[in-house]
Amino acid sequence: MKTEAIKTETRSNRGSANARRLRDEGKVPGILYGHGEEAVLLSIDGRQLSDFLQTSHHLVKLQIGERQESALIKEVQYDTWGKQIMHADFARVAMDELVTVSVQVIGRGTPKATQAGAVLEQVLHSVDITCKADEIPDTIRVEVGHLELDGKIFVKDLQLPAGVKAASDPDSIVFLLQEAREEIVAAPAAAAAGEAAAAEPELIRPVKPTEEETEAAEKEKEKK
Amino acid sequence: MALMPKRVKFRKSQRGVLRGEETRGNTVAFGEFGLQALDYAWLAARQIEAGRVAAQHFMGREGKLWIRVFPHKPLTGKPAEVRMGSGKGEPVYWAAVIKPGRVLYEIGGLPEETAREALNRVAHKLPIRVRLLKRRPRQ
Repeated sequence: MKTEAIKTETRSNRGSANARRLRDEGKVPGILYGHGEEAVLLSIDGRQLSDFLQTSHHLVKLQIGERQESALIKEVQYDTWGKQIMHADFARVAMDELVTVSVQVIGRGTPKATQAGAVLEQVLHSVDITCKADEIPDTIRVEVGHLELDGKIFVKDLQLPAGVKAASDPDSIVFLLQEAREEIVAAPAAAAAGEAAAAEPELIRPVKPTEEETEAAEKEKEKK
Repeated sequence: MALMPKRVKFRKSQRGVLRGEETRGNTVAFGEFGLQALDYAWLAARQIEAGRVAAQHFMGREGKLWIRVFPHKPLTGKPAEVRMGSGKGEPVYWAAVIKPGRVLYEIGGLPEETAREALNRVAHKLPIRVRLLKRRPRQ
């Protein structure tokens, strides 16, 4: 289990304008919280954090001035383009503490049936696991080469390292090998007819009462 | 057949304003590769369909394709040689409102080179600039 020490500084300035100024300097605003201690506002070196996030490590060591703290990455916010990190959340963690984190699942191998047109679908790209903080695996690798048509790999089938338990629903499907569906090609005439009808979809409106119903309603009112 | 809503509340809609970047639907959520819009557009249902056909034709029976946009907006037009006025025209086609950052299509279950080529073919059918997006390792 590798952990990286990321250099950070504490900051006192809050607010979006200050956060923007930090980002302009190549830093990322962040926060460290948890364990009943006071939350600490941080400014993190953007490049170092970005490099760290390219790895699949969950546990991070934060160098805050003289002291070092271990933390879990709780959330990372990106801009629209997924390039710039806008903000990062860290939660304090002890090495022997049980934590639940989401770990990436990677499939290995190619099922033979894919050559015959079957499609291997990865339904879950990450799985929640519970384990000690220093035992969090970077990724979970799954052998999918042996799958046959209509074969499935469930969460309960995953081979997890010792001390690691799956927190996701054990009956959730992770990988699924199914036959490819034939593409439905509409005939040109049918498509044209469909488009003509398609120009006017059904309107969602309250149904207007018929004349008979309105007359009956008026008579009832007169009786009252 | 081109996409369109089954039921709508109103037959015609006002134009609206396209501004800002997409804050939702801007990451790869289903497959491994996506096509992200870089411009504003009203993407017509037939253009979305043309993209789908281009990708499916190239992919054959391999892999899986997701369309992440839906044409909710009815756009109207007036017939040829009709004077201006006399009210709004009749609905002509349906379009998806696209802002920069929106992921339009996603592909899964294919190697990168094949997925890249398939999405490149989709890009040629679209009226806007797009870029290839990969699934972020940590999501």
